[in-house]
Amino acid sequence: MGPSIRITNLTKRYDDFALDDVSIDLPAGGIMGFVGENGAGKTTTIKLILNLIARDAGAVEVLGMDNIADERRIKMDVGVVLDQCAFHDMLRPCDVSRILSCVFSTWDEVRYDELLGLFGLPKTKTVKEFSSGMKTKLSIAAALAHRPRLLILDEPTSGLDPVARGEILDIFLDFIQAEENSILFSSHITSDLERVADYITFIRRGRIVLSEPKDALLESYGLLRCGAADLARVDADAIVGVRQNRFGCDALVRGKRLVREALPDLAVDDAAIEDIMALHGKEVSR
Amino acid sequence: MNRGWSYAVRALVLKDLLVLRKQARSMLFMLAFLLLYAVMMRSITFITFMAVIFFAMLSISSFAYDDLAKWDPYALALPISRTEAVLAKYVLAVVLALAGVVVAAVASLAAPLVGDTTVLGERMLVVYATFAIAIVFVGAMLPLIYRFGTERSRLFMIAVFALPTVVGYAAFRAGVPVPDEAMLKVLLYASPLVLAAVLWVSVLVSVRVFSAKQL
Repeated sequence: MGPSIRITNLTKRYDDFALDDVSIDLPAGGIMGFVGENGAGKTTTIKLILNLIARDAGAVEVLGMDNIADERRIKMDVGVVLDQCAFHDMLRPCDVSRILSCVFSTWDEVRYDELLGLFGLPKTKTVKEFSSGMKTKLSIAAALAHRPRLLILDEPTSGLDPVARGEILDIFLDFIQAEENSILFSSHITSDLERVADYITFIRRGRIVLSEPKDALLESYGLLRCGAADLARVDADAIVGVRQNRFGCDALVRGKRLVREALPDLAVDDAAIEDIMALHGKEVSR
Repeated sequence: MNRGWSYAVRALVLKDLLVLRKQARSMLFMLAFLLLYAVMMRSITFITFMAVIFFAMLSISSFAYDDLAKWDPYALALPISRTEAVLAKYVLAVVLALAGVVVAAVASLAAPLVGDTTVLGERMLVVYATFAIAIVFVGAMLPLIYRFGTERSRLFMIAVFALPTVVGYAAFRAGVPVPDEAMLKVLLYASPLVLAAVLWVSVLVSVRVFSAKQL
């Protein structure tokens, strides 16, 4: 089975920002967390996958099909949650179902009701009366009820309290039980990614910094807290980012096992995704 | 499975009708209020005119609601093409204008109740003429909304209404003769074709503009 999403050399230029030569593979059956600061290019990438904006170069394949030539067939099998609930204030969840059942031949009313029940969403209240968390849950229920094979979600857990986030992450894990189902979701809440993602793709200023299986990433990266003199002893190739502070420096190292073996007197901690995001590529000044 | 374009259009029109239902209700309420005016003036013309124009204008507000909800990017992330999205707006506009025509026709039939003594045929002609105006209005406005957005298009709305008046007045001043009855009849019989042509061209322009839009 090929990848669920294959992005090759994707480029989109704006006056003040460019998505530059982005390549990502999301293997079928996986959950990919797409991380990066605000404005790093996450939403732009998602919009390009969905053909909402025109690319300048590159190619995107979704579920083995070209995202432009086979756009409609792809979108029948994709569930989408964008950064804002797109349902109008005066619509009710039951209206959403009426509308989307026209769009999708595969719309599953029973599944939709089940999800509304699970999320505690009243069917006949208007969206206007919903909290932002409820709106997100409604968007997710609407994205899942036509039984898609791929979910593409832009910041689905931001704006949610920890309990609601947990519920939604459980839904993701449940969705992925069907073997060929995959999820791409962007987020800057790294703890969510740590919990569910199989792959992490990190984008900064329109460029992919890294795109790897999460376990390999956490296995490889370490955090070294030491003084400048100690840092000088570490193999320069292993250091991928350094942040100076009052007491010395925090250094992000790749291949932490080797660093630990070479310099057993230094404390190399495990790095969390948050550390990797914060430190990767930071000025290595020695 | 692919459901075909009519399902997508149906979904979008349904969405707009659901979004607009509350506003449509208050519009009917307002028209009922205008009945007082009709009784005072002993004329139903004003109501029939307003009914059609009000309803046609609802399709314009649907764009504002879509903007507010950021609906367009989501809709196009569904299996809905840009052409279908545009078509749906025109179907909505025509459906709403026709709903206005129904209200106006009922009002016209009931005209004698408010003391309107004009001939029924004449009143129905006014309803039809208003419908034609509404369609031309929609045909002019929709491409502008797609191009400039709802906010900036408000200014054009005034222009679209003012232009025919200005042109008519200029023609009158220039001594262009007022068309006689035979001429008007030709215009009347040709009008459905003209309206269809206006919509057709308008749809083509809107599709073109919307297709180039980055969402």
